[in-house]
Amino acid sequence: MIGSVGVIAAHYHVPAMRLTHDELVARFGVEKMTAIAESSGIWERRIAPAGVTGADLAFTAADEMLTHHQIDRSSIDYLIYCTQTPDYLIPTTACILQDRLGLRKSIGAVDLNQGCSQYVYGLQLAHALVSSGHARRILVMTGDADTKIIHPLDRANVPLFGDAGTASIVGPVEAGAGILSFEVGTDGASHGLLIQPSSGARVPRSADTSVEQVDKDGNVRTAEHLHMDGRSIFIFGLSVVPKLIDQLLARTGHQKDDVDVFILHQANKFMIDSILKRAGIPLTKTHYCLRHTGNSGGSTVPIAMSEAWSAGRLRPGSLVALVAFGVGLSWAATLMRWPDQALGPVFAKPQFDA
Amino acid sequence: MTKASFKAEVAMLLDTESAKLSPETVLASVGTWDSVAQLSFIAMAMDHFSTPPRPDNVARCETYGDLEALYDRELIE
Repeated sequence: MIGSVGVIAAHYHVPAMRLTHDELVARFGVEKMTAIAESSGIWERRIAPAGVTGADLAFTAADEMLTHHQIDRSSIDYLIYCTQTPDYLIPTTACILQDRLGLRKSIGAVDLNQGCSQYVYGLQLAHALVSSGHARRILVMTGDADTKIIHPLDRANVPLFGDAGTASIVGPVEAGAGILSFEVGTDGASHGLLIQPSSGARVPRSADTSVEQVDKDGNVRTAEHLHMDGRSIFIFGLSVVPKLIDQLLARTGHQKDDVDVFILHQANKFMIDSILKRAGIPLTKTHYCLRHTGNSGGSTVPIAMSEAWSAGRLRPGSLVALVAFGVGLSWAATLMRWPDQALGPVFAKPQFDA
Repeated sequence: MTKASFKAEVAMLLDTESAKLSPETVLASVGTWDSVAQLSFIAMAMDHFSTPPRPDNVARCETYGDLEALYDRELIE
């Protein structure tokens, strides 16, 4: 056991604007879109309107959570903002969020550039900071507006992705509760399977990077848009995640039956179900939240966790595994004993059906 | 895995009958051979074979014989 540090509060925010199944049918055709919806389990997505960023969504989540629980903002002594769609590359978006949220100036604030596994990585860094005594109460936020980096005629990615932001507080909890273990991994050799090619210094934006290209499946993209090799990512997930779960549980000697809820990255339902089947975990042990929200990247795990909490599936003493994987390629999982000191969900009831 | 059980698995994911599948059968003519079906095939293959198929090779398959050829060396009579 690492120590008694855990998640004591969590909340999320999704934009009001929806991209519905009917709209996608009009754009891409009924047969293809219905097949994808039935397989992915995603029938609508929430879209950040023009001018709204992942940081705005994360800010709303944090502001609502801090207000709802009447948390003294001066008690926050570190901010970790997980994103791959920051407001700016320079400056750090977390610094801006420190000011917007009214947090003390004497805190650390950093961006964590990680994709779908970002929340678990954020928890791990927060856990390390609290365990080592460098901070006591950390605000871990996630936020991405991935729909802004997906070409509107990319019929493979548009149906899957949505935008969202989340906020959690990590701090000391009672002995024996909280985060029990982490397991992480990285395969940088496969980084090209999920990439926005012209998004940084390696491929500067130019007239060439804005040229639209159509792939063999009919998806339109430029080098400035998100590219995903869906079939290879699917194989990656099925290859890595069942072992990740085994390794996570082996660290603390737990069995799959001991775990009350497995919260997986909500990539799509077919992938989640295939992974669980391969891992030998009953589908009843997971909690879905993608039908109305889509894949919001690194926010899906804290959203599904918050929804499971609102649904009464997370109670003090519950054993919860968070399992995430994606861009990098990277993967990360954590096992947590839900603490007595958790403040309760902000939403009294789940906001979305599975 | 036997050739018969492989055929049965493919027939199931195409929502057709094994008897309708021959090496020359065009997959799209007996069922929906789209990206979802291809992922289903990949998941099935990963359950039964030591290595996953190469995604591009799966996407290129047009006939049942093409699919069978992916695991020709591992399928037994």
